[in-house]
Amino acid sequence: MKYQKSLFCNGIRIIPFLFLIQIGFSQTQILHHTPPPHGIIGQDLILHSAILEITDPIDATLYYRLPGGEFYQEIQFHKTGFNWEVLLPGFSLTENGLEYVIAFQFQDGRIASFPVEDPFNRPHFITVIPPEDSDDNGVFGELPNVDILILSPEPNAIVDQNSLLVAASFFNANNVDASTVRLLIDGVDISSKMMLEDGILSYDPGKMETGNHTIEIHMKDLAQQDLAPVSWSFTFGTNQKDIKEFIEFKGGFSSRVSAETVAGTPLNIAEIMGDIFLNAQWAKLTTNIRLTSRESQYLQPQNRLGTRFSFGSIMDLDIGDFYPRFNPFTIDGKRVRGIGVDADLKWVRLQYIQGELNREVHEQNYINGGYQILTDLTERKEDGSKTYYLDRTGFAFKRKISGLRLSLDLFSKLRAGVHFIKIRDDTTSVNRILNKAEFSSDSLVIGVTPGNYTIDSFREALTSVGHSLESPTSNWKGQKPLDNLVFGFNLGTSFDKKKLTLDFNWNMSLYNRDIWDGAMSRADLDTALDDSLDGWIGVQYDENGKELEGSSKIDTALILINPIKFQEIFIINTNMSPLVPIDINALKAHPISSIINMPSSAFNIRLRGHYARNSFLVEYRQVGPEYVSLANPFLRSNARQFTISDRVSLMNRSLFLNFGFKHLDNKILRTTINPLNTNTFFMNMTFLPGPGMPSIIVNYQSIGKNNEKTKLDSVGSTVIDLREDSKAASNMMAITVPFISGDVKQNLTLNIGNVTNLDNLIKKRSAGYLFPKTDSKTISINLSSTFPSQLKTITQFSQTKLEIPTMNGNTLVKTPYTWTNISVSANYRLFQDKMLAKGSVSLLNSQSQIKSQLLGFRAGADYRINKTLSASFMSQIRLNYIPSFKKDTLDNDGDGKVDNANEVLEINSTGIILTLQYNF
Amino acid sequence: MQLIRKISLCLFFLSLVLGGDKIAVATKVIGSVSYTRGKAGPKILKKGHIFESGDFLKTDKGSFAALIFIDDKSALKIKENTELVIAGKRSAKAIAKEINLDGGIIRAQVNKQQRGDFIIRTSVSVASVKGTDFWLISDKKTGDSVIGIDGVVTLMNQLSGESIDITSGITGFSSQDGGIQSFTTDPKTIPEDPTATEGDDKKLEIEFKDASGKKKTLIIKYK
Repeated sequence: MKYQKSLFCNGIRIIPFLFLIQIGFSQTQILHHTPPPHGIIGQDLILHSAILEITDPIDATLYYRLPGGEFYQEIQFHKTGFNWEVLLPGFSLTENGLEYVIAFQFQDGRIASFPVEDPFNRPHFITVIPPEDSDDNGVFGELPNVDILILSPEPNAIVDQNSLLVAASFFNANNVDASTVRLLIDGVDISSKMMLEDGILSYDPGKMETGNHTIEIHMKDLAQQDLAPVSWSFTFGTNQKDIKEFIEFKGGFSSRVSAETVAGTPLNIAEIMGDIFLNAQWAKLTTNIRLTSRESQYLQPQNRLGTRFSFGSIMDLDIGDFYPRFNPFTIDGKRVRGIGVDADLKWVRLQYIQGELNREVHEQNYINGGYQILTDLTERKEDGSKTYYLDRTGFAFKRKISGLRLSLDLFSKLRAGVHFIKIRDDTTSVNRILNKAEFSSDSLVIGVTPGNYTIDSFREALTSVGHSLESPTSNWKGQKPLDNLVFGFNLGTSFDKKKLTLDFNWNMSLYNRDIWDGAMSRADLDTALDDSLDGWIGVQYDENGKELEGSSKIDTALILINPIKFQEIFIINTNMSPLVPIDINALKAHPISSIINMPSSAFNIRLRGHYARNSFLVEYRQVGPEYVSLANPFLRSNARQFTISDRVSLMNRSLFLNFGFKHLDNKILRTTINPLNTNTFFMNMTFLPGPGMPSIIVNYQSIGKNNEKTKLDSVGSTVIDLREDSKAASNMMAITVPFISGDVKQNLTLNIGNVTNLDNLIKKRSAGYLFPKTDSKTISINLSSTFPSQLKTITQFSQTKLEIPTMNGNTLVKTPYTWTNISVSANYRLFQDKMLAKGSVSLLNSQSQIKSQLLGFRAGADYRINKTLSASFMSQIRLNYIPSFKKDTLDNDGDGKVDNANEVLEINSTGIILTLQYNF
Repeated sequence: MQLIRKISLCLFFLSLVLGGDKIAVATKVIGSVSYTRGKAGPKILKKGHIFESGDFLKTDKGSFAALIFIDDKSALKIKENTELVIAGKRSAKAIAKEINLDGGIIRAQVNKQQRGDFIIRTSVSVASVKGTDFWLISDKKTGDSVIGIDGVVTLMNQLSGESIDITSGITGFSSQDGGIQSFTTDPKTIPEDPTATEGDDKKLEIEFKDASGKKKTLIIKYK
């Protein structure tokens, strides 16, 4: 009861924090994430997420890619006390936008993701807009380029006096206003001396100083908008003075120490991260390191150490942690610790990986973390004594992986490749016996005093009362060792000067759910499904020895592979799937369909085109219900998806439209009854008229679901309604208006969003039916102000309203939850920009069944000690105010006093974060 | 004011009709090189001169000129004692180039991203090229030699209509009598390119810098 109360109190305290930065849509009950309205080209973007779980995830990863891209990049989240944060690097934010998935994996194998449904096929898309300061950068991060041909001197050329002529051609640059063209040499404007005639710029600078020189051409278009300047360098003389350093090295290290307390629970983390880059012209070495105090022998590795040797553009050699990619169906950026080789000779490419996906974990660091008594398996002997079953828990096998991919790219016309990946759990990697692991024994073990025991002490205790212990050293009941083989091929071609590409990718998997007993022989297979050693698998006979009709039989002679000889590659036994990769009965009638729809195959065919400012995609993708790649655990099986989308830029790349349609279902097998169909229509409009002008982003998405069920189901005597025919519409609009008031540059952003769910069967439902989908409304207003005095402020107001449906008897009740957040943050530069002082105040008001307020303060500073060294300090405190605790007659803070003043206002969390960054 | 504008516009359009297309720029001039435009007399060619279609160019003994086309950076290098007419027709996206060589030695370095046609015509032969580098030695008495440096050039004898493809390391010969043949290039017959051989010994300087910023330079001299 006390535990329940404590959980309740902590839960109340935790909930507001989960929504501190959340103003968006409720995603799941486990993972909460509010997507930002947009990113900014080239600027880092921090994403926040929160989990409604007591235990931390063992893996918290952000996967991101360019829209429609083949592969995801991945970055690990790090815990910041209340939330999890990840920093998306600025280079990943381009004008094309970004797609991302958040996946949190827990110890028991559960995975929580954002988006919730089919995240890797339907990642969340965010629009990326240009920076506010468009004076420096154009509408799409750079000023519009213009096709100017440098005629002379050649960039980086060494020229002598006779060859020294500055010349450029505007032959293909029709939109340049000739009167605005300026020529600068070494920063000196010599426009008055140049010749610009019929689109040909020329200038003879005469004798110049020996050494390097830079030429720049600045210009505007006919609408007097700045165009990207053209600049290049050359060397005057006969010797090149600016030869690159033969060996170049650079890198950086940062250390981060955080000491935080959340709801009384201390959370201290220390991390060192670093990267080293060494360039010896023909070879490069890149090393990434992360050492964290979260590293533990009881978890998968949290530290990272990876080194890549690059030999020219021909070969990359990875040692340590690296993230290989073959294709989305096999391995797609999952971390491997081992060795990787990528030899790319342009027309032929060889990729090879060998290492481990998981390391071995022998046990967990808590009671029952290595052993557990399974009382259900207790056996009673004839003499009345019992044999108790002690099972191994808390372990993870070392999961080895090796893979090879060979691909060709012939003149950009034909792309082809074959690949295979072998993944197997190493059953010898885990300690079979743990002498020190403790487990609990309760009163169900007769005669043994309840308490914690080791295996030896428990065996002794059992023996002393006449019982015995069975503690197998293999074939444990829980987690099983797995085996997986994936192979496939791809074909592709390009048309029309690479504007149109067509790709086909096919894969098949063999998967074994339990390899404890190893491979079976042919004779074992013969008797696997029936008892007769007759050369047939699956043939059954009647009492007279006559074959029963209707048996699905397989001739063992037709099994081309001897499982025993094949066991080094894949272990074949009755736990494998598929037992037969293809439906032999259907093969004769529908050969093509049978091959395509093999339950253990996965493929896609994709057509991409880039025409007249359109980027379109047509794709069909299918993953069979038995397809498994352990190197890509997030792949959704039993799904087929058709996608058609287009992204078009209009009005001189001021208006972007992104729209498309996706159909997803699970109707791969003919036997599928009541398949779930999901039809998604999405549209995004981004209007960016130009610097200093308001910008508008509008997103609309409609998701319709139906499972083709027309009748109610019954479970026992209970009738249940499993029909699904719903529509979820989500809208989001963001308007940003830049303006200047006095000397203050301001940006006002209004963001409005809502999610509405509609049950199309509402008129056919019974009164007691719960339609379990939550509607939400969100509004936020941001005002960012830049003052001439080095001060920047951001004032934010946001409100999120949810209506969570629940049943009160036979009545549907929609419980409203409202979170209102007001915050003001400020940055101020001091000491000639050496120091950046930061501070913020925030107030979160939560109105639901329990009202509460959360007041937060943050203060800190970044200090640039010198060019290579900088330090950062941030402190925070949050106070929780829950008025109802004053009169609830409970001891909410556990201090032994009921309803005292401390219960209403308490320190919810405190934290200090120190960061030191060194670049060399 | 409006009258001035109208006159200016008329002059502008007149210049477009009467004037040749501007197609190339002289980037290097050594020695005595002259050009002739229309009926005007020869003028000394200077670096930076902009060629119009139809300009006649002549290099005297010991001289050299290099020019570059403004649409695709195709280059033409003209050795001593060479006479040619540079012609080109501008379209919106490219210039169709034609060099009428009236004896002499030229090197054509035609950009692989060439947008328009590039033809060299002599009294004996026609060389049609796309993305290549070659020398053409035109002798009015014997015929034309094409020495392939890179890529492929199609050499056609105008008398016989026969043609052959010349590739790197191959020399094609098109004779006055209509014959055409090819053979392996004798390196000694490749003319010297002044833009590649000028100056004294070449030096390559490699500068090393250690972590403390201390510099040392390695100098390699070569011909």
